[in-house]
Amino acid sequence: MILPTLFFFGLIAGRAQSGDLAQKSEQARQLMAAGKFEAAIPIYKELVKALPQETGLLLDLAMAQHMAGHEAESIPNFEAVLKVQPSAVPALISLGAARVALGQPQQAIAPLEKAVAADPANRDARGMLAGACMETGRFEQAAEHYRKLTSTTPDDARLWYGLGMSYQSIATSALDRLQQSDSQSPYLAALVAGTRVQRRQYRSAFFFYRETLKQLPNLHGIHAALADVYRKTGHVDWAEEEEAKERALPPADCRAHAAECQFLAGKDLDAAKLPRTAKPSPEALFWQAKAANELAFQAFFRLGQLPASVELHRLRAEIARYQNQPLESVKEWRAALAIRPNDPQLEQELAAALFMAGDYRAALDQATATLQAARPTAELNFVAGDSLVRLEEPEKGMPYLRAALAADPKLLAADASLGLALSRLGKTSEAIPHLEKALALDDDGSLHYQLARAYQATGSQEKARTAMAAYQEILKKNQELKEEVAREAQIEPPK
Amino acid sequence: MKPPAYFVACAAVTLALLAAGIVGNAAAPASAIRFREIAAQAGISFVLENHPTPEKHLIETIPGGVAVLDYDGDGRPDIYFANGADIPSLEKSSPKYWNRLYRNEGNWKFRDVTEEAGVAGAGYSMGVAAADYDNDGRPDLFVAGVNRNTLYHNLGNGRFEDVTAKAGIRSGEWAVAAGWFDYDRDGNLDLWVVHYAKWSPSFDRYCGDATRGVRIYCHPKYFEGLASTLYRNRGDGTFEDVTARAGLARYVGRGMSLGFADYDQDGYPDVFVTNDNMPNFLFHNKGDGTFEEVALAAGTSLRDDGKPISSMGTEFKDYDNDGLPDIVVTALAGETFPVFRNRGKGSFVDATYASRMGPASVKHSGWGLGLFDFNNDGWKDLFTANSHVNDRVEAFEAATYREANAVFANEGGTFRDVSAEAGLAAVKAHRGAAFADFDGDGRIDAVVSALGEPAELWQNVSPEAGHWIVLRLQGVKDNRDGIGARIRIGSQVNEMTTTVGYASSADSGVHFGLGKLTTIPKIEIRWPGGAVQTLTGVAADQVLTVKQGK
Repeated sequence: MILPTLFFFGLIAGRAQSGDLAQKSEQARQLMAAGKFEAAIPIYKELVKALPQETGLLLDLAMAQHMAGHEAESIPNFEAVLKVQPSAVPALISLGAARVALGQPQQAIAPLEKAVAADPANRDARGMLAGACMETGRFEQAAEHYRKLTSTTPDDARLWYGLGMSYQSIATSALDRLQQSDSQSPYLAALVAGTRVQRRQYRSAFFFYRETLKQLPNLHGIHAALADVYRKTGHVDWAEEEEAKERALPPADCRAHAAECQFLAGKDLDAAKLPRTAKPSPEALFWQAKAANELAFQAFFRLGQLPASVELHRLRAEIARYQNQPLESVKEWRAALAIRPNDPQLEQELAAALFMAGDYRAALDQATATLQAARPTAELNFVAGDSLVRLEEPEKGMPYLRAALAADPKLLAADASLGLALSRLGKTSEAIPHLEKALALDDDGSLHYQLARAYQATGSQEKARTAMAAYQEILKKNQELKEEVAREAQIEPPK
Repeated sequence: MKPPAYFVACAAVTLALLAAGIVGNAAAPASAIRFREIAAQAGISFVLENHPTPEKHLIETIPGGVAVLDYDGDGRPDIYFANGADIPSLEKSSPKYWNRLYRNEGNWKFRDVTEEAGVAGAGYSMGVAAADYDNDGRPDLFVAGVNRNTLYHNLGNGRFEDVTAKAGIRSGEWAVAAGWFDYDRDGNLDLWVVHYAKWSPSFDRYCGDATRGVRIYCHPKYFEGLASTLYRNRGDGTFEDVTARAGLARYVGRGMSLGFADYDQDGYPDVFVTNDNMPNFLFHNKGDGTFEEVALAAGTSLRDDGKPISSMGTEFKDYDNDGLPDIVVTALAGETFPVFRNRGKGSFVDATYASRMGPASVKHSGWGLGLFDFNNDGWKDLFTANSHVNDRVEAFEAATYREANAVFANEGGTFRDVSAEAGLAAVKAHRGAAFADFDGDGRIDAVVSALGEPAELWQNVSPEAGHWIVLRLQGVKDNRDGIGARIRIGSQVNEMTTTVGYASSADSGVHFGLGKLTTIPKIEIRWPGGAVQTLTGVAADQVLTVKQGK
């Protein structure tokens, strides 16, 4: 899509050039056509210097830089072109692409929106814009763009995946907002119950559905959901009772509960839109989440109907991880890699899945292989380093953990792992700052325990006592929570 | 002419150095450890019948205790296997569920004498503890089980009598393991029973992946733990439950096994109890009939990462020859077999990594274990009976269910996995293990149980094994077995105990490997009551019976 335009710009520039410059222009054009972008750059630089008024040459230079991966250098050139020609779609698209490549999706949105406005049929521009919207949390906009794309290109797995993920993100966002605005809301309980069903945590789901019914006995769908839980736990009779209750519910009052009616009528797109109010009600957020989930399901269903794709395997891998089936997740990432070998992102996901499956040797092998072949990331270095610590080779793990922290100083898990590695090697004084930093992660008390032992070893007895007391307090709270959950999480007959 | 005092002193120093030199040639590669499996040809056909069910009742995966004891006093160690029962009745409804006693007839021949001895047992048995609780010179048997314990008194005529009720031993909880020790030093062996969790056959929670139809044993977190029970031996054939009085009732865990040693050398035996997915317990014997739980402060409740593990079996012995009993624990793959080194003054340090046991064991899951000097080089090696707890583990994580046993050679305080060359190839769901010198050649052999498969008898055929001695203690003022006695030979220290590994027992004396030493300059025995007895110039390569005071 972009290269023919290059020819166009290059040719325009050529007419106004001297013979030598024309020859150079042609040479650069041929290099670009041959994919030798790096080699074309110095020629375009020379041409731009010679003919600074030729915006086309400046665009060609920017394109060459962008295609050669010099995104940061290309951006000022694209912006200079756009100052002169604000509607130059190739410049707009490529500027957006460069920003995305640099991990700056927020800055990519404006040029891509202009590109899409100027050329609504441009799938590349709209696709990139949808992706940038996803990354910046503009899930409704992302969904809108993916929906348009899937209507024109229904066989592209990436688009259905993107559509499903954007609706899923809308649902999650609605749940988060509901949690922040009213953590005791029965609507929230209903949504949480749904997530528990997805995770096959049926006792927990049962508890939350029952909580919902205490305050919203006539909320459509809850008795049916409870019936589903009963069926999944082998209580068919009870399931039938709940289904009967669902059928007996009065129709929804569509004036007072428009979103509910829209959802029940299958108008998910409408139900997924929030009313334009400053603060949406818990009910509105609930139906938005429900509708968005349904739309996500529909998109993923369409994805499943297409031939096997990286996106389908990615989805399955993520579902497996969510359902605590790490070996299944590994299998799916391997299948994705079989379709797109040597993809560093997929390899990183595979390494992470192997790590979650407890196959630390395989996780280490995958992480180190990807680190050698591709750009190192904090996550890959962490997987390699922590795997080595778990394999009882802390001295080998430390360089990876240090590299992870250098790339991402906020990766507290790397601090925790490095702290343990240092302690194991007897370097307790060095371990302490890392363990202290990682304490925010301590949900089971183990980091406080490690810190207490480290303080003891270095003679800080008072700090050791404080840390050990904190460890015991965390244990106590966890035990109380566990007992409370155990009391509540019993599946009982219908009331 | 008498040698000048200087030369005598030098000679004494030299002898001491020589004695010390029988051990601790630090970090020398261990001489080879080799085993040969001979159960079938020895006549042992025991199969641990755990009655696996589709409902995956947790008790099915836990049994497997083994005991070694010379029940008939002929000098040859015999073997007793605990066995399962029918589920849900928990009755031994068929001879296939009988516990089994095999008499050692010599030359690696064993004969099933279960019926004539009257020890087929009842209920779903788990662990075994053998010792002479009434000091009559004959080892007795305690069998821990699911809601049913049995105490057998050895009548001395090849038969045992079930004296459970008469002795005042209760049943009603799920007991996994037990051990004999004299906690109050009154000369009578008391009984510590380890309980796992509240369970009944009606517990029917589905654990696993219903969508794939893969049901698994439920995680321990779904089971409420239990406290141990301590029975004080009154000395008249009866026992008194002193759990509450001893301060133990409030310590609720999911107990799997136990070990005894006087870790702080105050003269009173202490108790280490492994807990499944909970911090372990270390009960310090205060000497006044009570115990205090000190594992957290002592550093033995958890590994250095602060996370509880599936602690299974344990050995409470000195692995680094510094004279202080250390603790080794078996656990599941990924958790390592932790080593807690005793630093003295009541404190331990996690030496799993430092001892190299961490990297050597991280891929293994283990149950039974024994810290014994298998090549007689003066350093205790570690044998582990291996398997995962979850027979469907391969469907959920990167671990394997059935495994080969393992042996780790102790090379001066660090361990090296020598399993491959040791010949331990048999892949099974191993559980308990007990150890003894079955053929009197000075090399410690092993017997291992396995779920649903024949037990294994591992003959130690280590070439170039060093010299050795086995001390069989005979208490007079103290308990007749000498349990709790502390024996020092050079830098090696052992305490007499019959408790070993996981839910198992080994009443076969105290074994020392002596390396190249053919005459032992000094053997120091500190009896449980505090009396010290010293033997000098003892010849190696014998089983020596040592009577207290003689």
